[in-house]
Amino acid sequence: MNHQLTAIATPSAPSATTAQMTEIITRALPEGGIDRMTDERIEEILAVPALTAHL
Amino acid sequence: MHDWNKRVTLLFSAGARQLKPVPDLTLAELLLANRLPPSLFQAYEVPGDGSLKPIPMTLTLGQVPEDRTVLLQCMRNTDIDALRPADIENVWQSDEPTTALLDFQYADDNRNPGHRAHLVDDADMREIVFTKIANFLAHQEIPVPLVAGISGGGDSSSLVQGMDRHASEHNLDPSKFTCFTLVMEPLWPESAAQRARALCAEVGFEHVVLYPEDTTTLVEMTGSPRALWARFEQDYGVDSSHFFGTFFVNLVGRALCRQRGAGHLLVGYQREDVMAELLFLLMNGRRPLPFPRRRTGEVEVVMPVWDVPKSLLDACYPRVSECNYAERVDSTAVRRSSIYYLAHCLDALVPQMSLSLMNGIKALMEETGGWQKLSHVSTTPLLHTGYGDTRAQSNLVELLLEHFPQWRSATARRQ
Repeated sequence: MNHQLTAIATPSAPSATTAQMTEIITRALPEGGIDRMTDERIEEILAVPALTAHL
Repeated sequence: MHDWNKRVTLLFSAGARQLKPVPDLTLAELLLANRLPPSLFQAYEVPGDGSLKPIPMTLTLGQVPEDRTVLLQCMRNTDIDALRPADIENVWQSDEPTTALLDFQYADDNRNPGHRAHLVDDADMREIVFTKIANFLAHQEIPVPLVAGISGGGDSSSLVQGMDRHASEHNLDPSKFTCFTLVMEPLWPESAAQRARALCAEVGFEHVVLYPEDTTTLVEMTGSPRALWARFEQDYGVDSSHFFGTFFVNLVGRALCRQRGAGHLLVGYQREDVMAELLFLLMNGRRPLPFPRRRTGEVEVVMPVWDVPKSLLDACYPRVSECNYAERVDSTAVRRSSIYYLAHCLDALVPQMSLSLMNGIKALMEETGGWQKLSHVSTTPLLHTGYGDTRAQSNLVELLLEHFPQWRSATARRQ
């Protein structure tokens, strides 16, 4: 077994409420931060370069 | 452990299959096990003389000379510390969890990803899903009376409970909720209808069990749906059962809606159902069909669990789901089965992938008016997209008209 994959069992994280867990199911990637490629001040004007800048 | 098949059984409706033993895992599969996409890497054999020899990712470690190590080189400047896809924190929400609710957060500006697996039990999961369904019905302002097609499986059981919660929260009359289940052995087993009946009785909803003769009367067929199925099986093969079933659920649901004065038909299509259809349409250059609400004739089909993964729905009623798997007819429409596999693949490494695509496409279609529109086939209540072979379509319509002769009249399409 790969030990990196063996998730860390920890009681440190607080229990989530039903509302919080319902929200987790519906949270898509943009709501988790993948709503832009780069600094929002340059995102729109430099949209195409922003898409390729990391290459 | 080198042979996990001694402890793990991989079970399909077609029977048990073997998992690959550890020594047979390829380099690509080792990456997948670490939640890393193989296409992001190049594999090299390292002889130790300063050179690197590129090798296929499909080799196993056993196929690389023992005196050589292997380098898996990431081909992009991927910021692995901002992703850490295999670092998942288990959060125990229950002492005896039955499923994991994945909560992955990638790449914030502080390069501080946080991936959690909330370990929940079936009671937790039911609470989450019922709340979600009730919220959906309220948010979408779905009026009563309404009709719901339920199979007796996990998905539809949750649908019933979610509708019940919605009814309680908004003081709605339970008699305005009608659920129905089709029975026709062996396609639609009686046992599933019994489970559905018990569920509806529990919450005070009307439950209509339609045996073949009831279906004949309701949808005004000339003979039994058994006879129609026999023709289908003969002409199109046993795999058409999947499509025959969905077709009948829609037809019967619309007929019941008409009888009850309902404008909405609730169905238990979940995330991968909707994604499979969407994926199929998009990869074939077709417009997406609307979700989570779709007009079919006079009735709007509503999908309250469209964004809930199947695994989480099934986790609400693990015992019911177990029975449901065991009762599955061992027939698969090969292409349909493949598209479902592909839809499930989408979320395999990134659990929110399909939902994110669906949300984006939905927003785009609403903004541009790009949804596929369905149109009636002649005077019939049948609907089509306009794609497909005209001759094949005519043949099928003629076959159906033999069993539904009243469809030739102009009023039939009101169904």
